[in-house]
Amino acid sequence: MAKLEDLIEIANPQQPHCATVLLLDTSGSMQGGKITALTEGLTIFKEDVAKDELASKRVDLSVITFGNGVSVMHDFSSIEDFEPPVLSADGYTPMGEAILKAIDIVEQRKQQYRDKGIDYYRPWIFMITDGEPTDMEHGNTMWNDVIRKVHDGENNKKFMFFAVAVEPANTELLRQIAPPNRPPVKLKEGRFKDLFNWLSKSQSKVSASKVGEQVALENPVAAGWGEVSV
Amino acid sequence: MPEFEEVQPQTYHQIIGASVIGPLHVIKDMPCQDACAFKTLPDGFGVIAVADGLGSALKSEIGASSAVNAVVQRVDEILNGKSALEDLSEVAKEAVFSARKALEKKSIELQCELRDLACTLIVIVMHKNSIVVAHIGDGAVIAETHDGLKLISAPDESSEYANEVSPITGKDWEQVLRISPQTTDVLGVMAFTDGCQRAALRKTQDSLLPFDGFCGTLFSYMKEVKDLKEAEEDIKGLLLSKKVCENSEDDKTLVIACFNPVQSDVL
Repeated sequence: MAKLEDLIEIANPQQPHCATVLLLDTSGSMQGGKITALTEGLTIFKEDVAKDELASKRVDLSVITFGNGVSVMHDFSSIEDFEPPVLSADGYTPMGEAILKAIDIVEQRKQQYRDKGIDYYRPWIFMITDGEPTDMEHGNTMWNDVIRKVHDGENNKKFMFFAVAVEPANTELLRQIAPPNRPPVKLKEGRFKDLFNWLSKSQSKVSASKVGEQVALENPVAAGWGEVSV
Repeated sequence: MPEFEEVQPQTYHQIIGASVIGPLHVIKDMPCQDACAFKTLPDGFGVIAVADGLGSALKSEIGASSAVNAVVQRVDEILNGKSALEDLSEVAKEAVFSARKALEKKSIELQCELRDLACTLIVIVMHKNSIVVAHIGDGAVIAETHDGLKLISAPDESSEYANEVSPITGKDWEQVLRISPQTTDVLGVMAFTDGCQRAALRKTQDSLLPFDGFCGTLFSYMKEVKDLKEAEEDIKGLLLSKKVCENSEDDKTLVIACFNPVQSDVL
């Protein structure tokens, strides 16, 4: 008699998904070693996640860049289908528009999951920047809109917002943008590889958790890439 | 040769089942927090109990096993010597009450909080081709009937998140207890914990339906079973298989009963 495993079918074979948006600063100031390291980081991230069987099925990755405009460089896809884009640095830092775009696509993605009956984890918006926003300033309409959406989204568990400050980022402004419960972390000089290793490890942890469960992440300082909170 | 062969009491139900640890619990070095117990009783009665200990409760594996054992013991006591059809829903309800009492007693014995023993509970009381289900929390019960597969008791989906359930140890346990109406034309029944939900239930926009590719296949398989021990190993193998585990990292319990099976020559 054939094995039961071969006889049965699974009703909902989808994996619970973890939508992750990498929100990357590609403004002119990132030119040189930083943009090269960031591009390499995307490949490192893909390779790391692909090695983890659960995470490779569950992480749903998108890349948004902000520099010469805001661009969805890579729409949501599985890690297998993720083709790391080659990044180039140019232009200003339209961070406000980029954050709003990330929040929008995360909400759209969750709606798509719901429509298809796919369970999902709380999405991640992971921003890496070396500057400060050039499309909004403290107290103007866009600033207020961005701050409200980031902080409300975090409070209402709609997503988790992470900010990583690369030298010489305006850390004071970043601190105001980031949710109060998750202040920005400063990247130790050149430690992009460690940052992406940490990110993939963290996503593996999330992928191995039950939907809705709190996951304790490794401290970025202990992980070797973060400096004491800025 | 005697003129009349003595008629031996025949078992009306064949039941098999297993609880297995999920990959996530192996990784986290946690015990299997699911438990099941079942018994075929004389005169066409039978009972199945399935419990899923909550991951967040410290000793929920003890809670789950205490609950299912209490259920089977109590139903056995109530139905002992009865031959007429009892009010099955009252029996099922009484079984849940006895599980709750057993957990209260266990918490005193272990000197722990009642919530440390938190678990879900499914009780199926069977009499010939009739069943009643008493249910707290997630997991589900599916029956095979002449009209096809029926979802007799659905997971409690009052919470947005899959991992938030109201356990039998909660203050509101009597409010969250659901008793299904009696179903009378049952050919087979299965109960499972949430670890099997993704495999066994089809999600549509606004409802859950039994999935024939899983449930129907298992009911068909059950009709062919000759050796219950071997079949139980098959079920364990299925629950531990890659195909099932890659869709749920949780512990898994599956109990299946086949009603009025073809009698073998040897009773």
